[in-house]
Amino acid sequence: MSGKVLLEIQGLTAGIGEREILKGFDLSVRAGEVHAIMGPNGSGKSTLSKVLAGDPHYKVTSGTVRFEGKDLLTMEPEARALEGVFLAFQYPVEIPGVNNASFLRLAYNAKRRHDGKSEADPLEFDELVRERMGVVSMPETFLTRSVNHGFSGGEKKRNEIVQMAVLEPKLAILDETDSGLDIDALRIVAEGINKLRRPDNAMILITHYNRLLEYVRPDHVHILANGRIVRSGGAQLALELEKKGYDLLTAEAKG
Amino acid sequence: MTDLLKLYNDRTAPRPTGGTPTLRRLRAAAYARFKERGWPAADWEDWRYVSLGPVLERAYADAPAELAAHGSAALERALGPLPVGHVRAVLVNGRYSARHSSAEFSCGAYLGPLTTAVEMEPRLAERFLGTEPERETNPFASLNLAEFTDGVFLSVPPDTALAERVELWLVTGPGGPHLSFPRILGILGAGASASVLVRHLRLGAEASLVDAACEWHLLDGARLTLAEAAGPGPAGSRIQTTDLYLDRNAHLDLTSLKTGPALVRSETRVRFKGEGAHADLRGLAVLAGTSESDERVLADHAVPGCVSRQYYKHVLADASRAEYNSLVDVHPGSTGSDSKQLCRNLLLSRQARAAARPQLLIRNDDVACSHGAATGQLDPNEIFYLRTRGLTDAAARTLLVRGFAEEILGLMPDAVWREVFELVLRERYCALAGEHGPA
Repeated sequence: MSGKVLLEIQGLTAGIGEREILKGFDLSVRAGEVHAIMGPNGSGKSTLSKVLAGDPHYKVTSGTVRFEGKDLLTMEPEARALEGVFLAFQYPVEIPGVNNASFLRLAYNAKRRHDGKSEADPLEFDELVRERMGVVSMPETFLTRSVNHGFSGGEKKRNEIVQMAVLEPKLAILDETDSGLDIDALRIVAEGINKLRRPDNAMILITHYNRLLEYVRPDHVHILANGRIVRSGGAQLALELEKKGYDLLTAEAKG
Repeated sequence: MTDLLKLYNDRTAPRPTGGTPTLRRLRAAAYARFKERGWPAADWEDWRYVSLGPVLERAYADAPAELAAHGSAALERALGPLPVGHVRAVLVNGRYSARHSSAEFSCGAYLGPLTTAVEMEPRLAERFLGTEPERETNPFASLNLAEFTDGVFLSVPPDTALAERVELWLVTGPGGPHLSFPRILGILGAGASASVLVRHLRLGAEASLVDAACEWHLLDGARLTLAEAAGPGPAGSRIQTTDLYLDRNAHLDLTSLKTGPALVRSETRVRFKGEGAHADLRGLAVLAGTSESDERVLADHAVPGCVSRQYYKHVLADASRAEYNSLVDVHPGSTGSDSKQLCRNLLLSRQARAAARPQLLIRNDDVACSHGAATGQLDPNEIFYLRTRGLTDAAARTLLVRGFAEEILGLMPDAVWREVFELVLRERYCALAGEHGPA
């Protein structure tokens, strides 16, 4: 693992209102790495993803987050996206009336402008988006449908991966992308994720179960409990977790 | 100059004096009805929320018969070249403007000045113009019938599918403020069909008052696609009645778009005259500033087996206001009536106000009627989702507003009129992009 450091989180404390959820969270992610963050409900997994993406509902009380050396926490959500941070939502939002193709083109062109490149015209973009849809075998009809509106759970998660494929982020945070998927959908999504793995990007997979990790092999696995990482290890840690369960592992960590 | 209230308090007879005996009788009856009813008073329920005071207390000048050269040039720019396959009639301040109109049909349809048509065919007025003026409850409708000097008349012969699309422009010239009484009469013969755009246009920023009346008669099995679009106009007012009479198996599809002017009160009355008729009514208003829209709809199910569908949406920024007031009246014996009333409002600011009052009056058992209304704001979760994809806060809001509004456009059957609506809305969205709603 010799990639440069993309993300450096130190002592991150954050929550909603007066409630602290993350309590001194540390993580360092290098280019080319896939990190899995696992933890029981309420351990702070989703808070981490929302804070990194800039959700205004969450309040950061201390700590630093640097993305490619820049202070991520002072950036607006759109600035983070344009710098190359992408969050695949656990619950993708339905937006009736806004069709996927025009939404994706708006997002793609915002990124192009930010990168100092010319915008793609509708024809160019159409070609690109069809190619990227192939990553998760999204049917063509998807383009004219409203964003996530009336989508099944699996279609919503696949749509997140299509967006990721179009926007090509440097760092993707996938928040329980495996939840609610049947085995076939899980395989399609996992294959999509694997196709998007590159030496110059990184991923953080936030997940409750080991299922996804059977398809997408992580370089590092971290166990999150009560707002901080209590154990880190290689891919085998996820297997160990599955055998012993969170209670035992976090108890071991405390002991 | 005297203000509007005083002007009509003093006047004992309608101003226009010419025309056929039928027309004179209609005008006299309408004017008598107007005098009897008087202007809407504070305790009239159906005018309660309309800011009528400034409209009535203003003095209006007579509009010139012709536009001055610069006005005419501005009108020509706004009209643009006539698209292939379209015909066009233009009313300027309520008068038919032959030089801006172009009404050549490939079939035997007629499009031209209303007064000429009524003179040539007196029975037309007897049967189709301002039916039952003695029972009119809206004083502005009575006043239009009494005072209109001209209008536009469209007639489509039976069993004729009109190949041309019809544009009817109701133009308010610059200067004034003026008072005008544009009128449209449209008749679709049995089995005829047509697609019509009514376009309201204001060339000046003055507080002119337009008192408009539109009447459409759809005879047995006729089909009318009607689109009505009004652009912004910062100061003016429009008070309009649209009466739609549907005979047996007639089919109406009406979509209206409003982005102004300051005050619009629109009363749409669908009257089913024959069984098996169907009316789809939808409307979209995107308002800002202190604009207000009062949308009143009546679906009069006087005969059995008719279907009415209403879907109205309002997007309200700043301190704009909208009211949707709809009555479905199912008469005794109108079995098999089927109606839906739905209104959705999107408020973009704390000052914006929306009211929705869908009402049902059902006087028999065998009916399927439903109604609903919802008012909301932009969802912060949706905004955040879009921002995480690189859209600015303003771009995200604009996209969500478009998504909300364009559902109505997506339901329009005529794609050509949909494009017109999209153009009108594009400017509106840009103006709203800077809006910041409740956090």
